Amino acid sequence: MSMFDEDDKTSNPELEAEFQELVDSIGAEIEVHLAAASKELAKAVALSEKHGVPFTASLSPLSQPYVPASFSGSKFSKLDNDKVSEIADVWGDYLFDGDGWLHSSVC
Amino acid sequence: MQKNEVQQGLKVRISYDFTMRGIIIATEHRDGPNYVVVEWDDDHRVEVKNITNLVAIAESDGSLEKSFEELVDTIGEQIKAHIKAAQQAILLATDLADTHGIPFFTEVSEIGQPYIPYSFRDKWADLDPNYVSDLTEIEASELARNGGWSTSQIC
Repeated sequence: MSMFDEDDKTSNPELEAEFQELVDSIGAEIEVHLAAASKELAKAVALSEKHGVPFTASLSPLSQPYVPASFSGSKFSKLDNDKVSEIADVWGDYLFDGDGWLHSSVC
Repeated sequence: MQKNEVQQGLKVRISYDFTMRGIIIATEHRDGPNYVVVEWDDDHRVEVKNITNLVAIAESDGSLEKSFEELVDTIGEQIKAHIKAAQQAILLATDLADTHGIPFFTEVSEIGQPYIPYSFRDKWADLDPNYVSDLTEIEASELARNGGWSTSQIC
């Protein structure tokens, strides 16, 4: 049975609460880093616009989810996908797609 | 371009696409007084064009290229520093996610692509696009499009 098999999912209020707590605390830290990345990217764009100099960046403002490899092996992967999606604000289907960066939202 | 500017052998470009460059090989055409015949640099295709869609390219004395090169060196380095800082911030975010197994959604991600400033055409359209391409490592065809981020490399 796959760890993502819906039959394997159970409602577990305690585990959900633990996951929620982690998303609230660690998620807030992640948000701080993401905001810093957005700010730095905006600075690069502002410089580019001011001087008219094009550039290539290894990252860009194309939204996408990040699903850590450690998620699929964690106890939280046993949670209902909809619940994980609701708490982490990552669409449930993406949780099946693999590890790391998934794909661009423009595709 | 005005009629009095037209002369055979003049280097021109399309007003709305600075990468389309060529040379006027005939100053008159049966389509009308405002039409000339242009041979394009890239594929040597010959085409009849209305002069209102053409801009004369001034002979370069190298000063514009030098200014651009200096900017790419100085401003380009500052831009790289911001990109590097952004990468480090993203790395901290993914490290946290990996450590705790927390998925997240972000508006900035590791999808590399070129950024063409909207001000680029106003400031540097007189430069040879291949020269700009060599300096910035961005394809000339990318430089021709409207400004901003382009599309994802994976599309």
